[in-house]
Amino acid sequence: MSAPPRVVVTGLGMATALGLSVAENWDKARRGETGIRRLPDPADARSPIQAAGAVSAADRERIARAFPEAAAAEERRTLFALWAAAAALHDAGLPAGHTRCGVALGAGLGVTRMEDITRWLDPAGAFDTVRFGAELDRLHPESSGRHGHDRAATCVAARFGLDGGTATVTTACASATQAIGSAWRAIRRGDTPVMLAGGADSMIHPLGLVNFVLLGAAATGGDDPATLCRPFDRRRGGLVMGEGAGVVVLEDERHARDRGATVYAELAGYASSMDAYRATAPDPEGRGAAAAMRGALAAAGLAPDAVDYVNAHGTGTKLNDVAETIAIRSVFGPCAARLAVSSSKPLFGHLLAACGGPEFILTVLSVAEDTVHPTLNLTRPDPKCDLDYVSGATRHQPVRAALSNSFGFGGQNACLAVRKRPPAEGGS
Amino acid sequence: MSERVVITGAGLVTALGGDRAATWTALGGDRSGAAPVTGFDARGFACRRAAQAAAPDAGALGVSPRDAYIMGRSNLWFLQAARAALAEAGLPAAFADGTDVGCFAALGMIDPLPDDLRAAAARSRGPDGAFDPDRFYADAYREIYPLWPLAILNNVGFCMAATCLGIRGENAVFASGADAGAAALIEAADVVSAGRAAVALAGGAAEAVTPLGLARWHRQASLCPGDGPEPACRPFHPVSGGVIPGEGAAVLVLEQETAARARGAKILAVVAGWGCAGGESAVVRAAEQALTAGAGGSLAVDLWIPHGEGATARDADEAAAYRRLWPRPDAAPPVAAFKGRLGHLGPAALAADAALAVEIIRTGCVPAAWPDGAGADAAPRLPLAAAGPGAAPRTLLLGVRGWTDAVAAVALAAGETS
Repeated sequence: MSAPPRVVVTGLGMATALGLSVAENWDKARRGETGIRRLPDPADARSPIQAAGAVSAADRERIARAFPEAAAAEERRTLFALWAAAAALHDAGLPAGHTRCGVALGAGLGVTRMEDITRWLDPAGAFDTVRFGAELDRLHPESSGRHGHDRAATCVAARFGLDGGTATVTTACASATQAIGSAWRAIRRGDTPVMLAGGADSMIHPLGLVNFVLLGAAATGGDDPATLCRPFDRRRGGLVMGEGAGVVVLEDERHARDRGATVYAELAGYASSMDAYRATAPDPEGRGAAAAMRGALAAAGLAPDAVDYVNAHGTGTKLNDVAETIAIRSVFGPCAARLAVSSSKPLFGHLLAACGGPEFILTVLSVAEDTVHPTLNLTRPDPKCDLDYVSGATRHQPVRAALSNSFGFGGQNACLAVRKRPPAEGGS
Repeated sequence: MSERVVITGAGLVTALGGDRAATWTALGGDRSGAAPVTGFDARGFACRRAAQAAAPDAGALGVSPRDAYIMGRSNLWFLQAARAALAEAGLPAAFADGTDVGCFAALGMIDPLPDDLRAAAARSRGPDGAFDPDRFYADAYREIYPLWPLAILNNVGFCMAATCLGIRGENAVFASGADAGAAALIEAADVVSAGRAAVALAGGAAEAVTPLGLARWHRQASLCPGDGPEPACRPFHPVSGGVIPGEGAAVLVLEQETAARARGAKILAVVAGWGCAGGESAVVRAAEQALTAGAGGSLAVDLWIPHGEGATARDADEAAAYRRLWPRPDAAPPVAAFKGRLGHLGPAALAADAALAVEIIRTGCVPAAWPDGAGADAAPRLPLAAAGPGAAPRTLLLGVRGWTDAVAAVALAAGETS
């Protein structure tokens, strides 16, 4: 039986608070700029969350102009997915209507609009299901009463004529990373030679904004928005929400070579695990996270000393950052001391189900360009977080291979292993 | 696949029964699970029927009331089906070290129950009765139970179910149409075949029927209107009636064949192939991929269990695909369909069909697609298998279709097939 094919990354697309192009995101990441700002909508003036990595109104207008038919009917996150998918396909030089390309996207929970509850309350304050059932056309356009989790993936497949099948992963913050991993497996199995994979999410609406406040996981301080997200810092106060999408084109290496595609890097391994600990907290020993990293290294055939960089989940919550540090130490042992680790979340916020998409893209670029972006706002390291988190400035260093971590609420962990693109046939 | 993957356990919870045996027995009679919606007053909806499963008994599953709230009915059904599947496979109800045990599920949306948000919504209303964000942010949002955000993440309840089972290995949750069930089964088979997990659960749970969920059903499917006593859903009938939402869950236990045989497990079926496709001719392409995926060349199909949801246009599309797949009527397999009896279990549909395929292989019987007497007035669009004992199918092709045109097919074969 022949060995599974290598899987390479040939196209990148992003939509985040930093901008709508990969180049803009990468430039700003290297310069240490953040897209986290005060919430722009005056309706959110009294929200307990005052800052987020929201895609700017101008950029959302630009997306709406690009997809006018979708802008009127689709969720915000589906529009982000369409934009990032179009960019990734263009970057890869793949035409629309590629019948052997599948789609795998991570997606967040349904959008529940408070308007969809208040509108059908009767005078006594009870929800009138009879009137609701008769007035379904009045549901908010983004409502979960209209759209399932798989809306973004199916819209992308339909819009670009991708006939290789669709999959949607819903594992909270691990969703996009697991979607990319699932796509990697589909190509390795020979199910399809090309996959569009990543994630899209947005919870910037009233109920979405307070969700993480209710769970005690959000940074709600009155700090400067630009410094609110502080992974691994002793003053970290929780996650800062972001929105957007990150989508990549993955290909069977032979398929990419045959069509002369430019290869950024090889997606060499993927693994997942479960904490089986608590729904509300990660395993404090990081055992599940460590198992995912070990699994990804094993799948890639990489030894710990072959890895130079870990793009951490790095949420900026008290529990995650310590558990992830312990997990990295347990996986890399003595090699952890020379490992560069950084979190992308201070750049554009926590994109929730989508976070693994843009973070994987930055990981790929780190490997491709031997450059590690810094962890912003890390000025007073937590003594329990004792790795090299690349605080301060971008670092130019060899990055032979890297890991990208994502850990979901509930205890699902996922890790992707990236290494330098394979040498051309006939090369050394 | 490098190693053959087999099914050694299959758990099923449906409107017709809390386990596979009860469902199978009921399918042998003339019952349909469809009935008027009981969980809330659905009189305003065009479709007011569903095949509703009995509420899961959290206490019997060892789940506390607090955890049961977060898990919701869907994930409790999943746990119930998983426990039954593990018991049949002769595996522990909870693994002591589940690092090499995987779990892959297809789940739907977890919709907020209006009562969870009603108090906050009421306090958020402005003078005009409309939602006022200032009031919501000021303090009304604090009326929401702090763990409510976990209860609407479908993966959190899934993780809690996995924790009950001691599972720590490879995993994923796919959503949210019937095609998601194929994604779960395929990835579970992949990790087992590749040796990334010694055992993997693969299955799904249907969405519980709620007001917001039923609203989405109306947008995503061509539903059967009304709530009368007439037969509601008749797949492949010329007047098929429309889709009936279904509730329940199904879970399969997958293992490498050599490992299963080595520990003396009974082989219920072999996962012989799969395919996924979208767009034009997706049903044909997915089926052809599934039937040629195995090492032994193209499989001959003894029974086709297509998606068969009861929506006229989509059933007709599958009927056309059938004639392309098997152009010679004398060589075409008979067809079985269960959504007329169990409702459309959405993300659990494929695993439910697989659990019933196991029974078909075991007994040689095929249940009737429609309740007894329903549709006797017209010939079906496809040659439905005669109810009862028949030709004892050994190779079955299952098909599912998502809410749009994402299609998947999975081939199952009797255990002794090499």
